[in-house]
Amino acid sequence: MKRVFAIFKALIVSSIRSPSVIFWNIFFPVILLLILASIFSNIGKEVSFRVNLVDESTTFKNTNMDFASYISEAFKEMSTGKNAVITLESSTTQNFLNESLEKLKSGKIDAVIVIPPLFNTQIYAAVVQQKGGFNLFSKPKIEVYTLENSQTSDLAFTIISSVLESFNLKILQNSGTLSDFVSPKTEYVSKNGQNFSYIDFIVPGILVMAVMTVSIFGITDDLLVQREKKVLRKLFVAPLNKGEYFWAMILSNLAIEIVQIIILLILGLYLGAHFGLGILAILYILFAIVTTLPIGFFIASFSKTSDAGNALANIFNFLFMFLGGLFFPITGVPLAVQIVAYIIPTTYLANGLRSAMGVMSSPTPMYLNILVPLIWAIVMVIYSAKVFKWEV
Amino acid sequence: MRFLSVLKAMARHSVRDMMNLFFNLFFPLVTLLIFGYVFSGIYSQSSLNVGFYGQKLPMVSGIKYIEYPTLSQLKDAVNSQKIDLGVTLEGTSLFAYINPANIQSSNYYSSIVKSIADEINKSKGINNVIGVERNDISFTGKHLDYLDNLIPGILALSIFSAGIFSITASLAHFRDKKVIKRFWTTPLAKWEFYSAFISEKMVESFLSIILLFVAAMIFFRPPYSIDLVRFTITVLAGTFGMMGVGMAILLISPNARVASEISSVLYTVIMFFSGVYFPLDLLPKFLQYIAYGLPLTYLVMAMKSAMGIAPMSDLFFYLTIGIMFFGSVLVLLGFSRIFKVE
Repeated sequence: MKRVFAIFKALIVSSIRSPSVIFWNIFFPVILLLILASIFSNIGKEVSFRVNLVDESTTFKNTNMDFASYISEAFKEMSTGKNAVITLESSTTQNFLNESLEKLKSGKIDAVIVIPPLFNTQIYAAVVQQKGGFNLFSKPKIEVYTLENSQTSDLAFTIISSVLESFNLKILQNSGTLSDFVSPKTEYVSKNGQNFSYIDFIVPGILVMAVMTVSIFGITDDLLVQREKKVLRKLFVAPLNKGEYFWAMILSNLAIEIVQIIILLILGLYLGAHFGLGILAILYILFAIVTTLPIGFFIASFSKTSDAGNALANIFNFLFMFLGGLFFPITGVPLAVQIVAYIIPTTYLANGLRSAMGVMSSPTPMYLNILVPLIWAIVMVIYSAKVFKWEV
Repeated sequence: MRFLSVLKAMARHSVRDMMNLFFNLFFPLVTLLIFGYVFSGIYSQSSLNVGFYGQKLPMVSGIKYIEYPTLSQLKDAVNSQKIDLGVTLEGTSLFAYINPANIQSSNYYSSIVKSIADEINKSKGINNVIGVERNDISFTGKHLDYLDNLIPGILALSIFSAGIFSITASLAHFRDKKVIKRFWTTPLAKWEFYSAFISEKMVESFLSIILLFVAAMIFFRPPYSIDLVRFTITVLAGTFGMMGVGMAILLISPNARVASEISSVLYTVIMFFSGVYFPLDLLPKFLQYIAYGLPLTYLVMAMKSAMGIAPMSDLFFYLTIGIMFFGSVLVLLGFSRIFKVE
């Protein structure tokens, strides 16, 4: 026990002295959590869109039926102040429309709104025919030009639509037909009934990634680099057996994982994540740690050199991270990718942890969330124990 | 002649170095395939599974309805990702239940719910007075999806890593193993060694990009209109430019391992801020300032323009290439003077 503790202490000191261990195990998960949280919780907020408005309307100008000017004013208001949602340029000429479309095409602006010449007349006619229940005149239509396949343009369109929707509601209210009007209301669904956001989803995913990374890179490095530098051989000359080194290595990685989990949970709470940390969640985090630890041992067992181990570790890390749905749900992927996703343990660990932390219901049954990672762990331990060579 | 001999030796060394082949060819290929399949699945779902509870709802294109007997079962199905979204009509409110994990698709989901509400209103004889007609304008005139935008970014990332690691891994490795020192004892001129080294790395980077591009075309068939001149210039100037960055890293690193670690950290951190995965406009303002200060951002823009999917004026393109190229010439020349072989 004393020897295990001595080696544990040596490995911990070595980890603390290694900037790369500190970066990859502590800073990288923290940075990743901050980046993903800031990007995805920022969508629709703080973002400013560049919009050009072309008001071609010619009828009822400067009267109280000049609906086009009300719409222009609404957009102008959105472009003023410190937290302006849009940057607006507006004009009435055909030339400006052509220039705007060229600018949109080259990505210099995000949307172009075009109010047609007979807009005000058409609104008046539409309200009259809605009240009268007949359908003779064509309805006013505002054209919104957007850039295809631009997420920024998509968001600009959503905002423009919601402004125009509010005008529709106002007109329907004035015409007396609003009482039957069906309007959509969005609700984000959570398991625990609280407001659920992307950050709640990402925290358990990052936790699984963090514990997996420690095992994949930490244990592989502890075993292969030390073996290659003949450190293991020298250690085993001393009164130290392989089992003692193994347990010291496991404990040192465990200590790093506990520190990183605490940091990530505190950061998650600071960023506003909602999750439960009951006994079930703590037990499942421990389960995730225990079942991911053998991955590094497994990789080390069939790597002849530390370089080969590093290459394999990168492949495993990448596959487990992106196909395990740690950052984004894996839905709609091709069947072959789905099969891989449903074989690897991280899919079940992420589902299980999200469920245990009360973030969301697991898409896979809970018994599989325990059984699959457990089978992986047992197989990897048995294989590695048989195959791994402590000395080369 | 000596230049050619060194070039040949470098090429042989690169081909025999399994780790070099792995990180320059195999790993970017795996990255491309995994991202390709995962993101094309996330962003290009052909039909949405929409659950509903209670009153039957009108059909709109692109969805498939699944009925749930209770509201809690419907919400649970959304929460556990069994369905893409849930809807219920209560009075004049059409409630849409969305799982925030699907944040990338929430705009699309909202537009589907709006279409359902419009259909219900139409059936009641209530129509929106003001119609909104959306016209998508495409720079290319072709339909592009998320994956089509991602592929040039992945190629730019490969150029970035090939350029930086060629210096921080390969050159540093030669220095640490005293290979360069031994070269200096021969009648080989410094310029012959450096030019052969740089030329070999350029060819290697070019071949790996071509291979990745061919793989992308075979597996995902993106509708690119390649400008071969721009493409070639971008790959060459990009690799050269990133070598300059690599040289700067190497000068502050005591050995190859530290240089390699710094490069890995840099690579991992800046790949999120360079418009490869997310449009820069969607980043928070302070991250946008960082993004526009990174060379990879401009490499991604140049690559997208070379593939004909994003606009970049000739002036801006050649200015970017010029800065990358001549900036790196200066960096490499300057640093090769102070680069200590021992």
